[in-house]
Amino acid sequence: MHLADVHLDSPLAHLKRLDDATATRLQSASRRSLQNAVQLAIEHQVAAVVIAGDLFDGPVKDVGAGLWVDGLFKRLTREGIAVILIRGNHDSLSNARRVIRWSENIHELQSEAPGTIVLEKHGLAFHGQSFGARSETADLAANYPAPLRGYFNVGLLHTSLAGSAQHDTYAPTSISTLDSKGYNYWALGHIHVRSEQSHSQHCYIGYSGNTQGRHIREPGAKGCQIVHIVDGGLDHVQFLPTDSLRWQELLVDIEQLDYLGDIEDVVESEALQLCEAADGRAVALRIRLQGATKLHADLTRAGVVERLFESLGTRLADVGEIWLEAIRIASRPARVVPSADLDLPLKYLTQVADELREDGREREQMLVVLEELLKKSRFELAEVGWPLANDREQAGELNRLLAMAEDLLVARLVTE
Amino acid sequence: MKIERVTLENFGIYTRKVLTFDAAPLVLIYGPNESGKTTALNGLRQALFGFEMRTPYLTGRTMSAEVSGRLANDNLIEFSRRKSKQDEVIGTLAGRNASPEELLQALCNLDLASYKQLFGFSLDELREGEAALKSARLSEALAGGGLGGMHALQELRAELQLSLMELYKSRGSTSKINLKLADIQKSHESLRASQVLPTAVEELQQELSDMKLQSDRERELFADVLQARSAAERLRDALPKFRQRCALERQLSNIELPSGVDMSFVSQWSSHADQRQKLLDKLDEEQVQLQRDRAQLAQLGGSQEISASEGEIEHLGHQASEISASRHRLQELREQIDDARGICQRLLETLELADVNDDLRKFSVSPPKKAELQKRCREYVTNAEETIAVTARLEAAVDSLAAIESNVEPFQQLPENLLELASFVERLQKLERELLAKSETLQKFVDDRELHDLQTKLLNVVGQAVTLAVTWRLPSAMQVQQQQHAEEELRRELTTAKRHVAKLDKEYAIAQEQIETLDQRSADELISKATTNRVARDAIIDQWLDDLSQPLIAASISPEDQRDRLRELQRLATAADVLQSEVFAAAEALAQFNQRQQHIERLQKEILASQKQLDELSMREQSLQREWQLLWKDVPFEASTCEVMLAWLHDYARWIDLYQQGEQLRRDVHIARGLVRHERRQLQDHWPNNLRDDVSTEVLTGQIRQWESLRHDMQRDRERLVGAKVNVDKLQTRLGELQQQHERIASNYAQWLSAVPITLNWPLEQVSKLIDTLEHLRREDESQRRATQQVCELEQQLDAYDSRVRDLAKTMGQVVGTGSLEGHAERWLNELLAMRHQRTQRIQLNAAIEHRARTVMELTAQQVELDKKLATLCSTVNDDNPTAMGALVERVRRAESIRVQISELTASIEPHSANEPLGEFLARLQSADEVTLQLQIEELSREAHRLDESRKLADQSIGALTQRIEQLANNQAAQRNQQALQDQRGELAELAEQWVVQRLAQELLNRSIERFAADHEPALLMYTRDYLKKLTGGRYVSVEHDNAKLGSFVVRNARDEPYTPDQLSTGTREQLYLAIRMAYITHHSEHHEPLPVIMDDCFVNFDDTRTRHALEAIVDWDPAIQTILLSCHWRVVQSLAEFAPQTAVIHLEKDLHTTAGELVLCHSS
Repeated sequence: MHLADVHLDSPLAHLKRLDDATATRLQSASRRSLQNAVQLAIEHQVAAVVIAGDLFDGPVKDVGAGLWVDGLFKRLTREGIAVILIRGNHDSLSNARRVIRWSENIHELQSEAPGTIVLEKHGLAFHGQSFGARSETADLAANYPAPLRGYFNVGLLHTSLAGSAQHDTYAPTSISTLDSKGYNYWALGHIHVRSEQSHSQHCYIGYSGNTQGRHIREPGAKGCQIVHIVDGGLDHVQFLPTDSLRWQELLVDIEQLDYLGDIEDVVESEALQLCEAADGRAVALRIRLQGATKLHADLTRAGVVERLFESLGTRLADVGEIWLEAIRIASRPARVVPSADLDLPLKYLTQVADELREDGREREQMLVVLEELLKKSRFELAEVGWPLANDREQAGELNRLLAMAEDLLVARLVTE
Repeated sequence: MKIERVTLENFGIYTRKVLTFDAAPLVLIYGPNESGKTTALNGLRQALFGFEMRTPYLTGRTMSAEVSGRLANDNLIEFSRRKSKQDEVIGTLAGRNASPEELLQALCNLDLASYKQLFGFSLDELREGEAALKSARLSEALAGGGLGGMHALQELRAELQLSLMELYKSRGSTSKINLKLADIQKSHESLRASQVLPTAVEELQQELSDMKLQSDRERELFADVLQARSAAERLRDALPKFRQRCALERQLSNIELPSGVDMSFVSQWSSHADQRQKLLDKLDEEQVQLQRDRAQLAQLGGSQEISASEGEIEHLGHQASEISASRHRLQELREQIDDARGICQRLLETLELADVNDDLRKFSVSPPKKAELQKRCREYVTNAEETIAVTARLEAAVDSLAAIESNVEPFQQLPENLLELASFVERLQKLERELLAKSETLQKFVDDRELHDLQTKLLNVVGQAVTLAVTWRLPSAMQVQQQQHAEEELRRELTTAKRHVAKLDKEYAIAQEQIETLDQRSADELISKATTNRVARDAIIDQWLDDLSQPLIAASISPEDQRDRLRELQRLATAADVLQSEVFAAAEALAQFNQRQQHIERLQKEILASQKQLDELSMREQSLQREWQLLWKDVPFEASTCEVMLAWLHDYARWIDLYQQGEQLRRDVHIARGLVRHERRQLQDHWPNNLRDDVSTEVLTGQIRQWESLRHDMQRDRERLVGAKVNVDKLQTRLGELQQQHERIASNYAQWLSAVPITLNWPLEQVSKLIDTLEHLRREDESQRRATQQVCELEQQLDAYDSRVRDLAKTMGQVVGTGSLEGHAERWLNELLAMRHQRTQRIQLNAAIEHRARTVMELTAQQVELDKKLATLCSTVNDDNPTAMGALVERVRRAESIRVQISELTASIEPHSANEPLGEFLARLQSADEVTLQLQIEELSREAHRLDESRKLADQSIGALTQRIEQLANNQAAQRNQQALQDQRGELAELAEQWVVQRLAQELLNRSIERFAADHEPALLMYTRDYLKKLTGGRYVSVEHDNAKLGSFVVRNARDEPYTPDQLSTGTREQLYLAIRMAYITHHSEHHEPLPVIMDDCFVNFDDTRTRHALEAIVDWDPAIQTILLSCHWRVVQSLAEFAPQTAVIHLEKDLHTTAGELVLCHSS
């Protein structure tokens, strides 16, 4: 079984309208996902469980997760299932390890040099190296040992390969480097999206993704992979979900709708399908309303989205275990600003907005205005990945918000 | 565009309707209510800008409209629209087919909603605009004019501001974001408190490990000690049994038994003996009981006869307690009667009546009458008090009146028209003040250098010979700016092009220079040298080869020759190498030469192209100059550069403004002076004596004030006198009323009192007391009567009882005294009950005695039978002595018992041996000492207990530690807090995004409005002033910035008095709003295609004067703008007929196209 990026005790993104029982269940979603993985490993009688980094979320002070994992893995050792794991960027310095006393059948590969674990009984050899520090910039795979003859060789690596837009670059390496090692299977971790197919034709190289989606940017099914080996060679890879809550974004085109109430009907019918596809799991749903619509002006009024949220939340609760994460307004006013030939105040909106977008000095002035809020709350907002609190994403986000502000004004000033 | 004709088909009520406008600047569509005016309005709008998606006017499957109009450039535009499943539009522009996009472009790319918003006027909009103006800033008002209304703009701004404040305040803690941040701070603290630290867990784990080791060790020791103690305990437990067993064995050996006597014999003997003994015991018991019953029967004696009066005794005995209670009650009633008599006596004393009066005792007052009497009583008291007070006040008022009459002076003579004079003086004073203020303003204006400076500045540009005029037709600032931009652009392009040409020239020169330095001849020489060198080398080699091929010659060649030849070859080779490198260099130079040649050719081409571009730019420059001159063709001077003229235009606008202000001020001063003169003449006509012209208004005011004061004093005295008289009259009247009331009450009371059976004259003030006393007396009499009646009844009852008891006593032959007889009756009843109880006991004892006698006889017979059986057994063992038989049987039993005990003891000792052989164990028991064993056991127990306690503690600690670690593993408090923190951050992010979007929107809106206002303010303000003046008939003349409040504005009237918008009347604000909208449309039409303006009965709230002014302003509006008025009011037609009789009118009801003048004429005829 190949899994990675459990991020134990990592909090999920905020969900509103939860009852206490569900809130408690969702708080422990990461632990439940690992429990599910362990249960699946026992049910499928796997030879070994391979964890390719980031079992823990970070160097937090709380070590409860470490104690808990210690207890959970004893179930695997009782069943004679070995666990081979490496540390990734998140848990390289995790305090949780200080309190763990790994059992005999649990192997954590060290960070000083690449190591090898051999399971003679199953003809398996595992090679890997843990991160010694959070920021590992060397190509660790380059120094991995040669494969052992007569064994099914598995490489464990926490890496971003050649880089990713959503994840920081750690332990960079290339497919050709991995190919050159001559292993049968590369169990990769760090990228939270599962590889649909192998990155190479020579051997299997792929990510299993994380075991539980934590926010809307990690949508869809999350879980682990069972690697089926027949006659010493890879037969096939099977994905098994371990998540208890599934994040989904629902795009709703409201261009043809006449009333706000119609939105609820459309969302309800779409949500029903999502609920069925989730196979009994809870679904955290983000709704993105889009399209040029005459409802845009209403949607931008204070309290309208909140009321829609409440009303939809109640209706969706009847459909199934669906929780609304947010309603995002990506719609546009049905009518644009009247002819650019006219001398209208609205015509200046575009000019002013363009200046704010393109003129560095204007933009800085605007950021100074926004700093009124940011100086007090930047740290907290950055913790939830709020783009405006992040220097790298600030420019793009400001443009998006400017467009929303412009739409708000147009919708409210141009009579429908 | 001006509409010439609109044809509607299948539009609402119209199957086909043709509206002809003939491109007239003003058209009135007149129609009373229900004549289809609204349908025509919507038809007109939708014909121009497209049918509505879901229009209620679509009655059939299709509808269509045709429009023909004339554009500002005099081109004809014609198009038709058709609405069916899909809307269609086709048309022509200037006689050629035009695409829908071209048609739309000709209509300024407006859609229906935007057109209604910008070019439509309605009553609702006018109202909203007026209300919004109350608090509008200048920029907002101007922008609102361009948005078709300020209402939405203001509402949006206010909403944004409110929403922002609710979301976040940099100071204060009540906004949503601040509250959220406070929550987050708390969550941080909770998280920190709930986190499990690794050091704490490590300590726990170490402690657990130590405890486990300790527990294991103590468990082993405990097991050893228990084993030892168990062995000692077994010995100790077995030792008494063993000793007992030994003693029994010794006893058994001492017992002697005859042969043949076994346990079966013993058991048979014992059985019979036991039975006999039991029989004897039971027989004794029965005989004792029989004797006791007989003795008891004897004690009861003979039976007594029950009296024949048993029923009467029983009845009187039971009634005795009741009779006793009645006696007590009788006594109480007698006491009660005595009390009532005493109370009645006291009440009668209260009424001051010596004897009891039966009529009085029967007299009662009903509750309504009582209430009425009490009310009369209150009125009587109040009347008396008020009479005293009024009398005192009357006396004081009479004294005061006399004093005032003595003080009032005779009236003096005053001008009769004093009020009129005061009004004249006040008006005169006000007008003089206004004149003074206006003169000062004018003087300040004249003294102000700005106008002169501006004039000088303007003339410096256009020439001192020119006279500045306000009527010049000047280009707009935008046109100049466009010209300036075009010139700047051209200048930039020219500079760029010239720079490019210069650069090309320079490059060309460098290329020429480089190409000239290349020497072609040297290259030829090098080739020639290389050829020579090669020839010489080949010659030497050939010669040498030839020599070597001939052995004789070869042999004759000396080594020196060969060395020379080789050196020569070496020299040639070196030279060849040098030449070769030079040739390579030359070839490279040649290649470079060719490249430069190509470069020069390319440069030449580019230079030509650039020169051509320069020529084109020069032509454009000339064209621009011509356009520039055209712009200024209507002015009597020559324009300078764009920058200069732009500034000049700005100054010129300011100069016009100031100039007009000055003119206005002068006019105002002139008018004010005339008004003062007129007013003074009026005053002189009304003054009571001759009034000189030079008397100042201060003197006149003083005189008026003096007269006023005098008149005021006289008036006040007169009023006081009248007031005092009135007061005296009032008091006298009141006193009379009070006396009448007093008499009426007294008469009523006397009438009632005559009906009361008492002789004294009771005062009205105490009537309540009288009524209460009479009531009380009546109640006490009643109570006394009832008590007396009860006493009679009770005495009869007691007498009857006593006579029945005496009769019974006589019957029973007993004597009773004269006291209470209930005691006798109770005693007789108790005796009767005791007698009945004895009789029952006697019957029961007789039956029991008979039964016991029978039982004794049966038991005696059984005893005889058993004696016979025992005798038979004695004979069996040849012993006739039954006593000796008993001892033998006893010995046998004892021996058997000892044997059984020995066996049992052995069996009980065996388990103590555990796995040890019994023999060995018994041997050890033989040598064991009980005291020693006990000491050993106790010592081992103490040790075991100590170890057990210690181990238990260790186990408890292990359990607690394990539980604690498990709790830590499963405790998700930190995780919960982390999640809570994350949730709060998520909520914070949502709030922050809302705030940012709204803050950006606010900033965008403010900037856009300010930008719009900055670009268009001068023109819009100028037009607004013009239209306001026309719409108000000259009452208000200016709209300008309010210097006292940044961003706000004021409206000035003809007297230059400033009014903020909220100080204006509603009607004036509506006019102001209309002026702003008209200004925007005029301004817009100057730069773009003018579109028809449709006004839908928006002057309904205007009075006739305002309506007339509004219509005049519309008639005088820019003739390029076509205005279509819709109205159902005939006064609109009449007004137009008066001052614009040629205005085109479409009469909807009569389907008539005519003029206002003709329509009114036709109507009147």
